[in-house]
Amino acid sequence: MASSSTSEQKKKIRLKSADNELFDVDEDAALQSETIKNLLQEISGDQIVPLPNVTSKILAKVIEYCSNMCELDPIISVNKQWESFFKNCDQDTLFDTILAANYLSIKSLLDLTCKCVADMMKGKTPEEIREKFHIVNDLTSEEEAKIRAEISWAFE
Amino acid sequence: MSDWSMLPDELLGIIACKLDSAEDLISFSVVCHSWHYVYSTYKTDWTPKMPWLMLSENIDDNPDYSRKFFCPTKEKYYQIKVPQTFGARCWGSSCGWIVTLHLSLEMYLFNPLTRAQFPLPSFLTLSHQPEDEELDPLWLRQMWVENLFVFADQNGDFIVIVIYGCWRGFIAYARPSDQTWIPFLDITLRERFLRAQDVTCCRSKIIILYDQGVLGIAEMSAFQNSQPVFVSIYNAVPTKDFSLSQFYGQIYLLESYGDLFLVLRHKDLIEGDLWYETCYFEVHKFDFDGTRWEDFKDIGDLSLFVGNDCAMSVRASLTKNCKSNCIYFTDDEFQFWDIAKRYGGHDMGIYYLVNKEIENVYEGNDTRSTFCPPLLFMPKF
Repeated sequence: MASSSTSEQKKKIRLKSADNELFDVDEDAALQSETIKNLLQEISGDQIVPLPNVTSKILAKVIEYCSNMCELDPIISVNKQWESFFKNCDQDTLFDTILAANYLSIKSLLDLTCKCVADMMKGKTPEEIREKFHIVNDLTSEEEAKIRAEISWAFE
Repeated sequence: MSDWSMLPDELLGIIACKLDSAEDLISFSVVCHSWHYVYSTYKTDWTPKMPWLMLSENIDDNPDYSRKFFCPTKEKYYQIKVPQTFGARCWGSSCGWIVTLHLSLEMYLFNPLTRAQFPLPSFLTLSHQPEDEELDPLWLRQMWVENLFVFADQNGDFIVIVIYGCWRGFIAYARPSDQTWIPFLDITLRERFLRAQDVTCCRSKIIILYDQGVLGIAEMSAFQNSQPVFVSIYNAVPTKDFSLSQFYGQIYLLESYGDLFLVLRHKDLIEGDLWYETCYFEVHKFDFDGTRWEDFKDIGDLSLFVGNDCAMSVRASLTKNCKSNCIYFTDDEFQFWDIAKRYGGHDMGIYYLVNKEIENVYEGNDTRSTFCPPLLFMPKF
């Protein structure tokens, strides 16, 4: 690992969530976010970085994830732990984390959370997917029949 | 409660591209309006985990022109109506296309999942044409084209490369909108009596394997409205017994995660009985720095796919039911398909590099054909 310095020497970045909670984060963890990296270039280093699109609940998780990714453990095992977390968390947390990862531009977290959603659909019929994600079918029966007819082999 | 139908399209697109199977993506497409729109926009970005096997046609059992497609990951087959493939000799590719050559000598790119079809230039525009005594459509469909390859360029457009001429190893290319096949300027190699054997795409280059293991390398960007030329030629001989006189079988050139492999498929041929069977494979990897081939006994997590298609590879650990350190092969002994006792399609299976054993890849019938036995292709939208 490149950052072998001790925690005392690590520079901290102060982040502010949508609900005005402040988080002091190690710089290398915070820099996992391209958005924060860009914001830091615009403001002076000591200022608070405002993140009006992320709630404190989600930001805490995102920071935990970013800190984990900077630790010495092999990335694979860290990833596995987080995969299992997102697989078992409630849908609102998963949904909000996807939005946060996208807004903060943390590609690995976005990939991981999107993969979890994709895996939740594995082997499911359209009806089962709608039920799982509480989606109302706004396709008319004619529209649905037309789409199904084009790819009828998959439904036989 | 989070509203998943309102997730921004680009994020739903990322999710759609991570779906496990073609079937999952199709289910996704029928969920609601916004998801169907996302499916239509992002479906071409979805990457399959592993090739499917297209089985032989059987018009008696399937008067509706459907044929079976076997998905090894799900160990399941789909019956898909594909009249566009009936009566055609076909080749698989890694970009979703199947190339079809019909008795009318028309050629097409065809996608069995979406049923999209694009004509390729006429057979008659190939610069080398058959002799008068070779002008039988059945014979031409079977013998004139040796192999066909489809590659996607950096813009996502497709290049089709044909090796043809009944073992004369001529080479030409076309893009789907072209009017004619464009020959390859390989005169320096043809003067050495070297014939093109196989083609792959590696590191934005088109690499052509000629007799004696000679590699001709051309820029992919040259394959547009111009006759491509070689930017480099390597004369590295892979093994001592590489020359075809000491080896019966097939040689494949294969790109895998940026590496270039050569696969030698040794076959037993009993000419009196017109019987052939794969015995074992050898794998060699090209060292671009030393410009030489290295023997490779173990390909680890990789599995390779060769035969009646563009050679492909996948990482087995990323894919359910995909065997690692092995080679999936289909029957490509096309000159014997109509006369051998058991017809084309019998020489198919999975070869394990470690214990040198061969296992069945598909247990069902509909594997035999005189002109189009099973082939492997990547199912794409």
